[in-house]
Amino acid sequence: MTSPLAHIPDLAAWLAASGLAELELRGPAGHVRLVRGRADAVTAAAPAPPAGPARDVVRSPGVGHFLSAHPLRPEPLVGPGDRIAAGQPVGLLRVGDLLVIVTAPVAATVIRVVAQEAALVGYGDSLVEIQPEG
Amino acid sequence: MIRLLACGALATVQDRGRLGALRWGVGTAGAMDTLALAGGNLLVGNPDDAAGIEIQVPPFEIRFEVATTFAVTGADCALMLDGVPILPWTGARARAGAVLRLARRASPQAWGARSYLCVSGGIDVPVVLGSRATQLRGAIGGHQGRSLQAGDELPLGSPDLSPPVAGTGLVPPVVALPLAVDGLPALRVLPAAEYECYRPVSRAAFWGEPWRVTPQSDRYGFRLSGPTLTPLEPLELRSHGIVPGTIQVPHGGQPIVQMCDAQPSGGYPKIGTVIEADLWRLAQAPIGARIRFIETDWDGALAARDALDGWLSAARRALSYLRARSTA
Repeated sequence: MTSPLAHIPDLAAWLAASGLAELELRGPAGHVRLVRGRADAVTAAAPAPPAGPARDVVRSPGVGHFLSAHPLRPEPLVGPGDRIAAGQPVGLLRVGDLLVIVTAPVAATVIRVVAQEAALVGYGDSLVEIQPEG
Repeated sequence: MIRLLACGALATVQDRGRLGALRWGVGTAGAMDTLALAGGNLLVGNPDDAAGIEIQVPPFEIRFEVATTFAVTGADCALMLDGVPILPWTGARARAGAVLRLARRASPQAWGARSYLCVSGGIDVPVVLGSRATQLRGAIGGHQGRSLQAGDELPLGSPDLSPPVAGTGLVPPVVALPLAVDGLPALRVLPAAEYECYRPVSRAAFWGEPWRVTPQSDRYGFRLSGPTLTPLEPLELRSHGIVPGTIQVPHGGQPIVQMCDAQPSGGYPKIGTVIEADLWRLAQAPIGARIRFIETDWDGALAARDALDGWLSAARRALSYLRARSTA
């Protein structure tokens, strides 16, 4: 198995061509994370509220338009402060007439929904910040 | 097998209906919202003729005795699988022994009146006259020809197809194929044989005014209240064949829309017929809701049916693509 480090020039070229903001690869041999426009991204980020060490983020499992509420319901699936179970839906990706359900990986408390309503999101984009139960 | 732990009134096993049986004087029965049943069957990888459970009055609670894939479609309801909230119109995986509970949603605006539980393989009750649908009037089909009750055990068929990836849902057709007039759910109607026999002011009111779904509305028919429909002169007819969707006008001048448990003949004059493609919209109008009628014609009715078929075909293609990708 070759090290992912050997492929960084290729990966960087793909990232530049793709329009993606970030590329992350995890494998047994290592872990690579490439971020485009890092300086801009950091300065543009809102100052994060102080958080416990275990803060986590639910990431998009694919490409689609993010929905915080089920199309039959006016109210969002989760909001700040909600306690959620592992496997509980926290958002949806709409792809045409299909809905991909985004679920909480672990029991947690919702900090905030970070994705914008109806925004097109891609694989790995941050959707919902959570504080896993300790 | 699934076991019913709790069951509100009038839950029944239904498929798409006992089609072709009207010639024997046997009503179609079947799901009131056949589109929701079809969507649920797609989500769990079932063929179109698989049977599910129509749930009219929550709560409803079952235990899956085997691991399987299921989906609850139709009316919105609060769904808990082993105590964890899940979403309607979504395929979900249940382990053997898992308990699914449907309850009414706290929101009074929760959409719809009937939910459908579809399970991979379908509810495998005996086929009677070509269908598994429960016909309560004749006490045939479904589970022992009756509505379900706590303690019932229902066999599941073996899945024909590998079901799509759990965690995938469909945008409900009420969102994908909306139809409303002045903010009220609307139904397209063909003028029927006696339409011209009504006074012009009644015909205008039929299209122009809202109609309320009265409490005397069920799987047999929906009695509506609104402006009085008055014929030009008294009408007397012999009994003749009628179909689900037929809008009859009894002497009081308040219309009745025949639904899927309607008897196959009747003698009241007919002012119109709700097109087949819009019957699911009426099926999901709860008691007390107001609806509107839209005049259409033969071509309009066929176009509406094509639109439903198109929605189902697109959903089927998208789910097949996901299934192929997940098994590749």
